[in-house]
Amino acid sequence: MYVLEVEHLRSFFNTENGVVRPVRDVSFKVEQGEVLGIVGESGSGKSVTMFSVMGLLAKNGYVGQGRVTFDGETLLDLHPETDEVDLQTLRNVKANYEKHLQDIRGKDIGMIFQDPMTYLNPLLTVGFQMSEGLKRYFHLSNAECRARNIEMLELVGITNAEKRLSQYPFELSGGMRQRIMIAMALNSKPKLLIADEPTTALDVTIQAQILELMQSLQKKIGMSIILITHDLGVVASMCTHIIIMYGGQIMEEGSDMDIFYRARHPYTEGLLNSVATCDNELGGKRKLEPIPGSPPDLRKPPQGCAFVDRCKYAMKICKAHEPPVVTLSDTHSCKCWRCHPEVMAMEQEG
Amino acid sequence: MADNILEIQDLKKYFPVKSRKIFSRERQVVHAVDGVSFGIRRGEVLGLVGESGCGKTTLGRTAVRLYKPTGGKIFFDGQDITNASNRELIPVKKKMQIIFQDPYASLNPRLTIGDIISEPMRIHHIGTKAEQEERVQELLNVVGLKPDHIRRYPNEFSGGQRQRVGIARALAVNPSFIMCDEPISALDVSIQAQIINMLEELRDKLNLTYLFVAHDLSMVRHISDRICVMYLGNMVECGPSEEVYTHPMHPYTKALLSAVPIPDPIRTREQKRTLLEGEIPSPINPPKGCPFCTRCTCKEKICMEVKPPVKEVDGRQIACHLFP
Repeated sequence: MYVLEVEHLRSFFNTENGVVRPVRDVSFKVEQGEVLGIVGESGSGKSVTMFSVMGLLAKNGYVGQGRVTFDGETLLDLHPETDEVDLQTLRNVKANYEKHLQDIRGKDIGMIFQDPMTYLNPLLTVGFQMSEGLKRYFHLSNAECRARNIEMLELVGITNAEKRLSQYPFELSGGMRQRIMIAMALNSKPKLLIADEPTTALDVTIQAQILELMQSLQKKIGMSIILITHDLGVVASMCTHIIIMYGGQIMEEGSDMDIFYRARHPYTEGLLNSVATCDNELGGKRKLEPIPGSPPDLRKPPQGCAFVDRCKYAMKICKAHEPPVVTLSDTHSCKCWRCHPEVMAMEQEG
Repeated sequence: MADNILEIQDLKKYFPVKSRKIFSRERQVVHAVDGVSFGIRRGEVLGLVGESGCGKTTLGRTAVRLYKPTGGKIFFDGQDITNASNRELIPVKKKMQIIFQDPYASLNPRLTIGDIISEPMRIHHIGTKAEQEERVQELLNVVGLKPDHIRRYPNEFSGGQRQRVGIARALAVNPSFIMCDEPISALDVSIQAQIINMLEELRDKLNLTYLFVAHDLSMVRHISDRICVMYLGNMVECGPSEEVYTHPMHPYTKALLSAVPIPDPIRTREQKRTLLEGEIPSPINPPKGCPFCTRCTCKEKICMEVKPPVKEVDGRQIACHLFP
């Protein structure tokens, strides 16, 4: 049973400097009760993918194509016949989609963002903000909301819960604010929690607390989590299903073992070789091998593979044609010409 | 002290905070750095780590005299620069340069890359215009940028390229010491490794000494010879980095290192985590005894009352009552 299915999603932003395409044909599925990690650098399209699905794109952002199914119900099915962009239609589609999502967002799908200070309203008390969703979706009274909020705050490990409800976000520390975001997202017992870089703004000791908390809550409530991050350490400790994104596309997808021990895509390989680790057995002083160059400009994405300019194995075909997604096992797939059976056969022949 | 390029003794930096009461006479101060001593040997990389708010950036900035210290002493190349005036500092600053955290904020958007890199040479009156331009070309080559970048503006560059410009600017006057203030934390993972490798190569080639301030413990381990762990304005542990990482002694260092996630699914699940409860106390009223006593798992009565002195244990400095 899949909680969320996304197929052939494409989004674009209409900017002064031309059309930017941060999401280019992305498909993935999230199973019930699993933790999916989406890994990528800034500009890889990982956040915009989730924002497109959630209908949270900025004013100039549109979903151009794609199908989104949540909990068996198709929310969006958009397959234009031509490549030409008809903004008026897309605007209508976007408005409709966002209206549709109003009943799902915050109820069946919870979200946690990177910087809790920008997403909490500084003018409203914690208690008021936490109750908004409960009142809207469950029509609870003030007293019921209060009881539920206190219960939730205690669940996420906030002491003095009653006092916190009447405080404002600026009175709380970063770790505490992030806990409140989590409590708020979990208040309605969602089926899916989307966490966009939930610990990037926090210190390591607080990060460890928050990750531990998310893991135990996930087991307790049995929801699915999509964790968007650039930190491979966080992914390794949290996720069983991992997607590697680059240049608006999924480069490699697999289980944690596939990605960390059997990585096939040169970009995944490069990422794994360029991170330092504190672990004593893995060796703290091993030479880092950085990926040369920098990510592509998505206003003019390269014609072939998005990674071709930085790839040490690049071949002629990589520049000319976009590589196909090659299935390597039940869980593992990779978008690279080197994994293509014909190319592999040719390589073996020498 | 002779082989120490930078030596600080019992350095203190307090910042006054405004009182909320208008007529109140009481003055509150943030104890950002509260009595830290260490020396950096020539050619060494000292990593300064800690969580946000522990005073590592303030310490780094005070050590290179961007801030005036509240107390203590700073020696650079054997010269006391604790109370040196701005004029007296000019020749000193020629030998000590800084790389800043945010490559977007630290480059003037109205200057070309060439102007930015040659500015330190203009300030210190080094060479003629032609010689300066030649030096800029040489520096661009050293940090891996193209010669024609000299006429471009910072907004045309990515974060990693901007940080390279920042490094070229720091190298322009041939310094012997560079304070790196979180030079990689604003960069992408794949770019961080490029910059770290470049800093390492430059150190070997130009015989530089770094004070490397950062919160990314894995990267600090990678680049540092010695590390100094800070907590709430105090140094808790300082020693050779390999030893500190493999056998942390102070309870805070232990907890801090165990909290860093390892990018390897099997190893990270075997990892024993010491989860710290609570958060860092306010540096306005630090705890009376040991600064870490509010979160420490092995605290005793003495920890709440007496601030532990820095002791020498097995070749490292530790501030903890657990060690006799």
